[in-house]
Amino acid sequence: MTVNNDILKIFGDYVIKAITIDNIDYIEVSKDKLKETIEYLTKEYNLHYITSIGVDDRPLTRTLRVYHVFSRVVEDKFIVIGCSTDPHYPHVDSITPVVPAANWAEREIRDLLGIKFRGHPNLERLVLPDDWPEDIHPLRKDVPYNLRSVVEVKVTYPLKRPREHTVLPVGPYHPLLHEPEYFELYVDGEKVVDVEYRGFHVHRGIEKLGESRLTYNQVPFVAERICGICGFTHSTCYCQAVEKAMKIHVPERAEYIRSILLELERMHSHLLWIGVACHLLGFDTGFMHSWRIREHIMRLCERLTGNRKTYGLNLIGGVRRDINKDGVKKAINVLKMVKEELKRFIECLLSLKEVKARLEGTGILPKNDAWKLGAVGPTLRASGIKYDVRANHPYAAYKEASFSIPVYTEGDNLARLLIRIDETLESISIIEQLLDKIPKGDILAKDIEVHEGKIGLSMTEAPRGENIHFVITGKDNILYRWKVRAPTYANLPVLKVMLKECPLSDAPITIASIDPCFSCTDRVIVIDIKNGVMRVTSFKRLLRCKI
Amino acid sequence: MVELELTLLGVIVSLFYSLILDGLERKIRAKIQSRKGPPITQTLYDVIKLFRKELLIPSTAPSMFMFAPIVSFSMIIIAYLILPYGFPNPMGFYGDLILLVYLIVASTILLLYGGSSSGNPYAEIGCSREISLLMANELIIALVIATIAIRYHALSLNTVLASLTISPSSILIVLTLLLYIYIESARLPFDIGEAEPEIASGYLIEYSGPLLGLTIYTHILKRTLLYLFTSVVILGLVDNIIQLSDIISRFVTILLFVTLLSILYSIISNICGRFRVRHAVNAVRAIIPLPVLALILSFLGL
Amino acid sequence: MKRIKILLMAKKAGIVTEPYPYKPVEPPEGFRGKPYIDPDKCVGCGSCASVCPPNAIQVVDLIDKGYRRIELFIGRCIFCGRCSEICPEDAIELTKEFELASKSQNDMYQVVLLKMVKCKICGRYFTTQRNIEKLLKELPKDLWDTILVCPECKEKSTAYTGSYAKR
Repeated sequence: MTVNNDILKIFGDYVIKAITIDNIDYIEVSKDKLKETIEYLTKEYNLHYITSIGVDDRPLTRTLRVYHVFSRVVEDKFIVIGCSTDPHYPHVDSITPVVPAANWAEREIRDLLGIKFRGHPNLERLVLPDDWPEDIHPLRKDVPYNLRSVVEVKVTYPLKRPREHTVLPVGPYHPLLHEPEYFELYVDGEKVVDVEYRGFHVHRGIEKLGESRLTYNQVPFVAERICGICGFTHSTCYCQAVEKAMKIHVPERAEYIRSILLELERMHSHLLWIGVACHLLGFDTGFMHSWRIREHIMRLCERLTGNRKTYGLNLIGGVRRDINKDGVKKAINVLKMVKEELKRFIECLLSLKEVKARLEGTGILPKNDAWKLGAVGPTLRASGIKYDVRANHPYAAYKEASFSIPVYTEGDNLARLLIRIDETLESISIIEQLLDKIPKGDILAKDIEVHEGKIGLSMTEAPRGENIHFVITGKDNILYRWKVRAPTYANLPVLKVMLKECPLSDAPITIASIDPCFSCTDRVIVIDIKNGVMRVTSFKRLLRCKI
Repeated sequence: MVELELTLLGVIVSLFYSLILDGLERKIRAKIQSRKGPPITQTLYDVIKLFRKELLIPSTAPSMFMFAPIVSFSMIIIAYLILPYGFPNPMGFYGDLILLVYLIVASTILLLYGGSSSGNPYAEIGCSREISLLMANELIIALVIATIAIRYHALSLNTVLASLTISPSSILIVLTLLLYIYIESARLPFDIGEAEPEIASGYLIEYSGPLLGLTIYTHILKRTLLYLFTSVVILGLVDNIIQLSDIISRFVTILLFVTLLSILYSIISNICGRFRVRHAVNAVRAIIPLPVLALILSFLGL
Repeated sequence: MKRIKILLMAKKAGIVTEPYPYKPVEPPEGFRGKPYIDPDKCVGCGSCASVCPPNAIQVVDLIDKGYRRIELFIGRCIFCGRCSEICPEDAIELTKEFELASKSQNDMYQVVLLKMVKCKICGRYFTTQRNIEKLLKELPKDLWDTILVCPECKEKSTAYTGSYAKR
């Protein structure tokens, strides 16, 4: 019995629409029954929560809509459950009590679209700064994408923790972070007691940009620049979403080329992470050597695509550039060399007793918490759950290669290190298989027909976890809605569990072990410990201090 | 006396040579990390650059914050003045062995106190970590001095240079010293006080400009001082064997030992990760049997 | 001890530092560097401007002077190479230059000025001279007198003849 029939049987009258397109079940229910439907579905079927999307549908249907996206673990299917609400009274039931992983997504919809969720445990600002005025919601269609000079609101709110603990601010500027993030660690001597996170410091409004002035074929170039390390995954995911929406058939050679580059990207991202982990453990020699090995891959990518990181290869319907015979031969040699050097390096790294002692048994993430809070990628697989988009929902040319998915059950930092090493070696094997089998042919689909109002959903496995892009196509060659959920977004809430009762010397490596790759923005927070109050410094005041 | 002039020359040479030694260590680290590395005179350039930068003092810091690096630096300079550079130092006196150790320890503790008085939580954490390591370490040097005093009736550095002989307790003393100065100079498995990625440079975090330059220079001078002390002990031991009578050649021999020690330690510290505080203290405690055994042997006259 | 292996690994790898900038570095084949518009080939069609994702190429008609101005601003360029793919004349190409930092803003701009021609009927400037020359080469001789007519006038004239053709 399919999911649609099941829902129709139980919630019959409240179901407005229940259709299946490709491997996605779309169900629209009335907003009063949304929470019950999701509660039933998550209990009945083992669903993995992916993201929640808010859409300003006022130009078309005069409503605001909310979609919740889930995926099935046992088969390659997605379930999208949505409801619509009146724009003048936008209240929807929150599903966070049933699905704790939806916490942040609902806060983001509330910030950017203004839909309020009843029953949410703490509906505070997530994406927008604390002094943003209440009535301007950037993702609504009537707010222009180049809005400037917003009037700021003065805001104070009480400190969350009593004063006996020392507050240790990690960020927004700290040697252990690559990007500005703000972790407030409350420490008691050498032990971390609690952690508060504030992020979104460099929120660039990419979703709004995609809806306003970029054509379909210009968006992959912006999507590639979402992330500084795994950009190609984002552009592939976006192209796949649009190709699914418009039913474009991508030539086989293009899919092979996409998969090969995706795996090369995974390799260089994991090697980068291993270097950073060594640096945080004080082993700088390891950092230098792992980046030296990574350099071979960067040069190979430059040879194949013209640039070390922003390959600029994806277009709707395929890729722009081909790999010639020389490139293939060079790739095979480079991979062989990298495999040997990597194995030798890892042997040296794991033989150091003091490094291993700091990784083993620290930052433990139990299996239940990982699943409930929605962890993804290597963080999830190190806690014993076998879920990888390349195997569960195959895309591009992954069906043609055989590879194993490493899974560890301990859930500590050492498991997360070993998983990334195993994945890198698996990637080498996948690339060798694909290079062997790559077929001849076209690389770009011809005669693409553009339709309006179609929905497309695509998921790819970035080095840090699952990436999901959701598109609704619009008119005049411009998107109507584009939603991106990066993997670190799902991994950050898990840090609260990992950092509790953790000794301070293990805090940096624990924060780094989820591989945070998340650009965010900040204001200065002044914590007045004497009065127990936190104030946010306004932008004008910062300008006056000439910061 | 020509020895006085030569001692002062020795002090000035060591003050510059310590910077070159640090540059040499950085070059070795770079070679182990497969890269070219900075030129050997880089540390000299860094310290000079820091003295030309702006000095910023946090408003919550007491005056001790500013005085601590200055006093600490001057203590190390005084320690340089009482060392024998291969020949008896005319400024030495009875009991200056204890004074040497006192100056080394006091300058470290003063620097920690100054750094942590700035009020930054990172500095406080760095200070508390370093102190826990120091407390375990100073016990070792106390035992070493006791051994030297009992076995050779020597409490001044000049006597140490003249009267050391090869014996079971003195060999144990040298081994212990080699380990002690490795830990005291805050090298890689043990640099928990100023761990950069974890606690953002620990107790050094609020220092800037000339004060930071002075602090870094004090660290480098302290390392070289420890190497010099160990070289003096080793030279005293092997004096009967090599029998150099020329003052200049003895001074050059001391510098050679210092360079060799520096190279050896640099190689070892670059193939290690960083210890946790608990492990570091345990590692130090594991060394303690060595000087205890040396003390017992010295009582027995061995 | 296993740690000695690190030293052996370092020795085998050697020193990997490149002596750049004291020795020049040649980027590999296919490297995407700074784009260059060949002023002798460009026709002024404007396809590059419409496909450029960050709008680094702007095409502006200077009607009072009779020139079409194509301006490429390197400061906004993302070096994707879409302009080079789309250009029908292969006039714009990505060179291998990557050392683009400069102290003056003028180095960031490349401007190509193309002379425009007037429409026979209404007298407005509507296309570039080079475009006309290209059309002269490609169209047969009997269609040559339709070339110097701007699109609006062409529409009006064919509508007129078309409505006569229906009878």
